[in-house]
Amino acid sequence: MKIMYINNDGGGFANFINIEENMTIEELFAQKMQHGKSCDYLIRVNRQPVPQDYILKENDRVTITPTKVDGSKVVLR
Amino acid sequence: MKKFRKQVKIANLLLRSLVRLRSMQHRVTLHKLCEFRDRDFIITKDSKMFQSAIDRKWYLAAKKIRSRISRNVSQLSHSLELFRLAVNSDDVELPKLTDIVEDLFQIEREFGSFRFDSSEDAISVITDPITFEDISLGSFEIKLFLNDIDKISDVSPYKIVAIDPNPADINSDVTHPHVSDEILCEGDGRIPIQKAIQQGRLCDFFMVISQILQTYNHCSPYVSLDNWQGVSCYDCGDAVSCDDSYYCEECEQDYCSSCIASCQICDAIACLGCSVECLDCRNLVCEQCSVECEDCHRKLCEDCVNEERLCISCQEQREVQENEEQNQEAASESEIFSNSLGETAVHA
Repeated sequence: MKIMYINNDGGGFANFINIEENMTIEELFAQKMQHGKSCDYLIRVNRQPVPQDYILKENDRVTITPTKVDGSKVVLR
Repeated sequence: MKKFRKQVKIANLLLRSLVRLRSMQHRVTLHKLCEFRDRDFIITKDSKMFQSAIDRKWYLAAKKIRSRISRNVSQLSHSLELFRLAVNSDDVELPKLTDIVEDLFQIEREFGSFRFDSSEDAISVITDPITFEDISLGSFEIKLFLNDIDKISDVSPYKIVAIDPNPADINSDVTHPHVSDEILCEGDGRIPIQKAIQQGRLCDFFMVISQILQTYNHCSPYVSLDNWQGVSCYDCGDAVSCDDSYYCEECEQDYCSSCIASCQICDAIACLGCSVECLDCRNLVCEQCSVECEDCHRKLCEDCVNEERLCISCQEQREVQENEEQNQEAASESEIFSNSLGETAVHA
């Protein structure tokens, strides 16, 4: 099953990925953010907050945004 | 559709900017490719010259050509790397107009509302008030200039404007530990922000920036929160809080504890530049408690001079001098007595 997965952490991945049928958003988070706690992220499915046991559907749009992003003094462009 | 007129207008503006950005990206890739091709052409030409120099046994010329080829090969590998980066960079993906409109609705849900300034073609949201360690920084407006998106590689297309600014005492341009002159230092958020802009994901763009603003990275702020309500030492430049700063009345500047001294005589506070080091006892004293020796003109503290404003050595020197004069006088008197010259008998 194909879903749009956007990770606003690190490299800012945004593309379609294949996932198993009946996968919940909690399972997807655990799979993708192995070292993260869900409370440290804003998780949206189709631009809306969803419960942890939400079962993902074909073409769902999942966005994961960390609640803490370190800014810095120097930016190298 | 009339209901969504504003949203559609913004979406169209964004799409136009993204088209320009994509065209710009292609031009950059083409430019890098041309650079690479030019270098390759020069090396090919030189290699033919090298061949003919060897055939003619012009070894001196061959040596020169070889060093030129070596130089160009290094530049070619650099050009190749730049071209590889340009050609592998993410392509600008044009979102659907409906995606952008949906993003705008999501912005309204996440931030309460958004504002569109048609005079600047700028879309903005306002964050919740931000407070770090009891320091209230107020709310910030994140303002994205849609027409500047295509210039993203040169300038930041957005600004962070403090709504109710509480800037750092030592630098009024710093309204947030990571914002200076309305420019955010994105740190870890740089790539997600760039990708969100390039892919036209407006809500993700605002959300990542909002999270950066709500995070204090103590390792790399423009002004740390410890020094937010403080002053900068006039001497060493270190930021110091108001409570820990010292005021020099001589030069009327603020100093940190390392750059200030207390007069050893009157306890007055003066900076190192305005204090005087006594050349005898080496104590630091204020200008008022320093005295110039009448004889040697060295600057000393009041304690190291006598009532006649003489330092100990000058005082000793004077004493020696006076003694010598007295001795000379005494000597001349005794000479008079031994010869009995000029002596007059005085009757008792």
